[in-house]
Amino acid sequence: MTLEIILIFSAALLSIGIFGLLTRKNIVITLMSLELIFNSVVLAAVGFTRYSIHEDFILQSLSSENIFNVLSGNILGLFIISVAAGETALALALVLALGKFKSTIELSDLSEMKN
Amino acid sequence: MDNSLLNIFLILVSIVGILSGLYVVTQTNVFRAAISLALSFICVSIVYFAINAEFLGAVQILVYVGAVSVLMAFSILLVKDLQTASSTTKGFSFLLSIFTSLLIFVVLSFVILSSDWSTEETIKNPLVKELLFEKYRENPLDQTITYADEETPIKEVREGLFNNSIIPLGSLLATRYFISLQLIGLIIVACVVGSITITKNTIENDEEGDKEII
Repeated sequence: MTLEIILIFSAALLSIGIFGLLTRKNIVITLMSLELIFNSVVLAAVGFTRYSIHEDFILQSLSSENIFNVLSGNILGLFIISVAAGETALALALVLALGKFKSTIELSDLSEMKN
Repeated sequence: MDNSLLNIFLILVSIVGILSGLYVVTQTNVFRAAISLALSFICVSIVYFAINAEFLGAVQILVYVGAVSVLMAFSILLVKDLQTASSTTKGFSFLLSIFTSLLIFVVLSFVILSSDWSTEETIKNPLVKELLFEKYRENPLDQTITYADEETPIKEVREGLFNNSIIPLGSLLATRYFISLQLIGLIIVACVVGSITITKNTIENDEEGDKEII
């Protein structure tokens, strides 16, 4: 039952993030929704790592390096968190530049590239 | 910890996390949204700590709560007219967005609840359980692991793979995922250099503009 609770938490965070991406026009709030989506993905990966264990895999990979792969979801989560942090730093620098030059950060006002 | 107690705890933490997430996407005050986002991240990290992923929980608190939320709060304070955002879209597109996100949630929940996950309770072999949650033996020569018995020397016995996951994670990062780790470092360096360049150009152009006005 624990895995189901974690996965439903993850699904709720995912749908909240998608709702935020679809309805809000403010860039910073859009970024926050994106972070929520990243979090939901990592949560699901870690939940599967901990609670979806195949006994056969462990028995087969005893006395080999492969057995550490039961923890590979944590590694995936670590990489996702690192890339998301870098991406946020870059996006917030762009927000600062936009706020200086165009004095707006509403996505609907940024339409120079249109047509 | 008793499993049903853990489940109740996780349900409570999840409710707090979901409510603060909803507050983020419906709030017009961006600063309050950033604080609420930090609360949501803390709830996720509590879940990590509760399910034996302590390393990831620590990383979550350090990176998301400590860096990303604070960075967002700072950038909100630095940009003029950013404190109040426009509210959600109105009318048909709003209804369509609610429908889409609810549909995703309902379909995912249906799949999650109707699937048969091979969970922890299905592990029958007591030796595998011991290896994962109590103790295992690490061969000092090639770092391979087997079951620990009573004749194993004490310095070769490690806590279970999930009980103390930091040592196996470190060994994974130093061997199998070494190249990936270096590439992630390269990506972060590129991101930091890019953001510094963008912000520096912004400040320099701003100073030139001030001189022209004078």
